[in-house]
Amino acid sequence: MTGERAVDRDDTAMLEAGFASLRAQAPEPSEALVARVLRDAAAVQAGQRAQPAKRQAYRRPMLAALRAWLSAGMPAAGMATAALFGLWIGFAQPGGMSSLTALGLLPATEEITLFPDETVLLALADLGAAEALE
Amino acid sequence: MSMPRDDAATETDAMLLQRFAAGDAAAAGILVQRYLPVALRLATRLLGDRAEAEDVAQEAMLRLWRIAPDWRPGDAQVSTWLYRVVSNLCLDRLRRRGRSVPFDSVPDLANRPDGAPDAVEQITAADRTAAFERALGALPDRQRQAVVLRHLEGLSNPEIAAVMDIGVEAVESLTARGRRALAAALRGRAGELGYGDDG
Repeated sequence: MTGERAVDRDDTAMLEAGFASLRAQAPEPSEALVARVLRDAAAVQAGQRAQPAKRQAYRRPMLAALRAWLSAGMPAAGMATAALFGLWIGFAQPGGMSSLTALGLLPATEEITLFPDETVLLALADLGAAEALE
Repeated sequence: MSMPRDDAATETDAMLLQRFAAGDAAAAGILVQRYLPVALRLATRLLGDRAEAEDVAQEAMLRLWRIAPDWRPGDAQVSTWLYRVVSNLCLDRLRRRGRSVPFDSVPDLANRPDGAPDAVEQITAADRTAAFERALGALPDRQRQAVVLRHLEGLSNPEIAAVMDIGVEAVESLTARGRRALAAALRGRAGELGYGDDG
């Protein structure tokens, strides 16, 4: 029993010496490896930034087109003008409609949408947000 | 290029990953300083091949960059995550190469040209380390992984269990068997290797 313990102790000492020697020889990253890893990091970061940029690129032409449409159709138009115009449409009584119906220009049962199409409203709101940011 | 300095030693890994995800290049430098040596060290010890170990370390760090935007403060420790990724990448490579660990550069003391009695005295500490490394490389993959994590990386058994995705008892069994196998491989050569003289 004493012999086994002595051997175990020797084994342990031998193993600990071996582990200690390996720990002392830990490899260090070369400059080339550090450069490679940092290049990867920069590429991943660039990729992550590129994604919102892509979405912006898609939205920009839409906003530019809408701005062009507004300035062509309403010479003094800005966001305020468009908003006031929309408000007026909402509150104004459709007084002229009955006369149009009476003249037979419109059928009496025709439904008329007084609000602009919702996509136009969304686009106007989008433009307003974009101008607020600029 | 020198290693970036870790000036933000108090910053947690989760904070650094958040900064990285927000586009902060300096955060990448700090994470590289903290974890690239760890990844390279473990990969080298598991693979026994410096070039392959560098590829594994680079791949593991790349995965860290990619996961950064999704990292949450309550997630696992980055070190645990990294040990697991590096270990798995190494085990994949070992399987592909048919489990032959290339510790070929390690000198075989039995084939030394100078077999004279004074050869023992000429055995350097480097030779001894190389022989030990070779014995370590000859262990079965999982045993070597457990032994390296325990005795070279200094992880606790519960930490190793988390890395290897096994129970603590299994870790204890693997490290015990690994130590016994190492001792058996080296025991007969203890005198030749100079253990007991000054080791």
